[in-house]
Amino acid sequence: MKLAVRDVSVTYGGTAPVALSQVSISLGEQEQVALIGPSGSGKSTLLSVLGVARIPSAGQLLLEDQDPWQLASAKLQGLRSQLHLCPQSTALPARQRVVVSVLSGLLPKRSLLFALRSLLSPARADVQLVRGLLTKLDMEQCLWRSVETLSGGQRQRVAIARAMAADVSTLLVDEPLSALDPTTAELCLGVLVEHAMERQQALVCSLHQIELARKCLKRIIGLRAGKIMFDLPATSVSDKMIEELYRGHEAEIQT
Amino acid sequence: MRVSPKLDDPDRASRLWIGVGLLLLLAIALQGSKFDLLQLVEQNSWDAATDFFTTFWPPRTDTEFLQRLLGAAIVTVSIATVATVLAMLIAIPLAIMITSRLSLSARGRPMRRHARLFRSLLRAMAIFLRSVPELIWALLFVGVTGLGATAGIIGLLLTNIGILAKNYAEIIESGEATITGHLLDNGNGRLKTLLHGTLGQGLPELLSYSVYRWECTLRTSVVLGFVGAGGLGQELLISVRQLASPEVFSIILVFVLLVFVADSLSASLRHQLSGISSQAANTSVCVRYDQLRSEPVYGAMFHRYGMALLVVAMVIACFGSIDWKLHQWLRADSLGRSLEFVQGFLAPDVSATMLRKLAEQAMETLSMAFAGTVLASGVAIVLSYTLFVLHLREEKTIGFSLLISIIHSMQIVLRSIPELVWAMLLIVAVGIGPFTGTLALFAASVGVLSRLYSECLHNQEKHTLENLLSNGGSVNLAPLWSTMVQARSQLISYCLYRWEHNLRAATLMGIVGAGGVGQELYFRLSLFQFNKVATCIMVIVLMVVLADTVSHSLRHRFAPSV
Repeated sequence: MKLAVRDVSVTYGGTAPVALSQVSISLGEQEQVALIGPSGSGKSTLLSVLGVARIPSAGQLLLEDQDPWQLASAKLQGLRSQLHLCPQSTALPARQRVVVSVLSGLLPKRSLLFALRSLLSPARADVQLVRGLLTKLDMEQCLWRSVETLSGGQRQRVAIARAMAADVSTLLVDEPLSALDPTTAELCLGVLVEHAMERQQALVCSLHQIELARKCLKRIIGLRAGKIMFDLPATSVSDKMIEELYRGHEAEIQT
Repeated sequence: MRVSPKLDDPDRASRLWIGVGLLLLLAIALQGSKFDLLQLVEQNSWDAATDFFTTFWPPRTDTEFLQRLLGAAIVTVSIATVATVLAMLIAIPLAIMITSRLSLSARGRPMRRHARLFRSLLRAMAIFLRSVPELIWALLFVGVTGLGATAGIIGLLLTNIGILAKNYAEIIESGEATITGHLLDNGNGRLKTLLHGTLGQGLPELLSYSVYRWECTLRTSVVLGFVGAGGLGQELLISVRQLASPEVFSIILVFVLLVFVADSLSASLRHQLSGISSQAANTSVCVRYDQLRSEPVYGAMFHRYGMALLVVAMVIACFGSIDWKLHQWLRADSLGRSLEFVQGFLAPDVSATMLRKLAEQAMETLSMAFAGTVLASGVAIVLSYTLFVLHLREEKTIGFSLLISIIHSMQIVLRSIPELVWAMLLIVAVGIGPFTGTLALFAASVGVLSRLYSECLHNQEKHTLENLLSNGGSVNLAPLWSTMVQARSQLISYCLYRWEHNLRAATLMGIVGAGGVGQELYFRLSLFQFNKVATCIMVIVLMVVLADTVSHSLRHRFAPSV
């Protein structure tokens, strides 16, 4: 799906500074992008605008050259099921079993019967699918566990598996690696990128692991204070640009 | 230069005013509810009462009578169960529509105007439904369609829809917003979001609240017979009218038993529900994925499904045992009366005489509720404090143990008999009028409040108390300086809840002749003057909503959230 924002600004009202100011980007189909920048630079806001979760204060979001916010609620909701937005907070129900949480990525495209049935006891084929995804992330032992028994890093991997389960054309993932150790982070980003490539999905992923971003993703967008500082192929991003992007926030860069 | 603080207690004036104000209100309420303890010891009422109450023993226990009671008890349970289940089925979609948490139009932008309007309308409807007590709905439907269980079911149903919709919506909103938000953002509809987002967080709460609601409905269902809507209450009404005390005693025993069973059943169900999530978590931790074929939490699942199956079977049996008498509803005169009823509501009687009469009775109702609650709260404080001190004492003499068990059994008797039954019994002794209603509210409230207060005192931290005691404080007084101070705001909030409850109950007292606005309602309904009935109901709704608001804001003031 072609996804673009034009001159988008977002303000949260009151005395809060502008979260995004006149940002324009466009994403081709199957393009893989890393979103980097210090905390508070507007990464999450940009992702939520792209995911049709927040209406921009000014400017326009275009999905297939059409502004979704002009549509009726039902149509809009149908369009939202074409994208998967994975929030930073992971948003996993504490009393759900991992297998069901991962399957909920498929929920928008499936029937109400599927929703009911999976809650009682998921179908064997679905369980197999989930087990496959969890195995790639080294999480298969947690298949039947309840989410509330998982650590923060394990929850993040469940959220990644849920995004991978989603039958969509675009994945928007907000800081999926923040609670993972360097080895696991590299494994998970690699799995995510490869999975998106296989299924011909576009991927936008915000993260603080700069080296990993340069290694695994082809295009890098640097945000600072709600503005785009650079939008370049990963190979053209220099150390100096990174240094400037994170000036005053050097400690946030993760390895 | 340092200004030394004044020696006068800055809070003295406000405390004095609150105290004086409360006493003044109590005096007004006692006056308004025609409170007169001398009436209790008057010779002629004393005689009638002793005649009635001394023949309580032995209760009537012949087989024919017991069979009749069993039948009535089954009807009572069925009415409550059917009404609760139907109310749940209607309240769930209503709650989904009411809560803004599951709004599609509000995702990512302010809610649309029409959606907001629609929501406020539904909310107002739910408030209206739950502000009219069950018994009054039942009374109305008995008036329109004749005697029978169906009127009772609809009565319980309407109020329960309002109450359940509100609480379901609150449970949905108490979950984490990011979880439901995530599902909505990815294109799920409201129902799917509820199923996977809300249930994944709050299923035990939702079920547990529904069970609790069933228990409350059963308590009300017991007295539905007073207005002719079937069940045990009807038997009691007949027996009291005939002054057949042995029968009355048997029925009251069945009442207490039924309430006790429902109470324990609901408590054990809710206890199991609160264990479900942690249980599932514990059993599945050690399970590996290679056990894919068998459900890992199989035992727990079987247990869960078995329980669910049992509940479903019971509900079906309840539906089956009800005599719906639907043909009664479709008769020409019922339909005609329904039409008159709706017309009456569209054009309520607001003439000055009617309003004056209602204002008088509303005043009576408010007085009954206030006086009953304040007096009961006073007695309950003394009782629970005494119990607390008795438990604290180390030497347990026979006298002390005896006193403790006497207080305990008194609490149980007082709270398992509903206010309306108290009123009916007290009428025999004291006669009709608001004084009887006040005494009835007082009796039931002493039972409920003293138990809640006792629990509250026992649940407080003991550090301060132990410190006072180890420094030589007296066992009788030390809790006053520690436990009572810690418990204060919770005690106040229990008392306010009870006042809300008592106000609702006070609007019903008139139905059995124990004063208040219910009297006028009952009278007008028996004359089929639906426009006047409508005015009565509006006054009741107004009072209940007002009491809810006042109590809510007072609770927030005295007990700020942590």
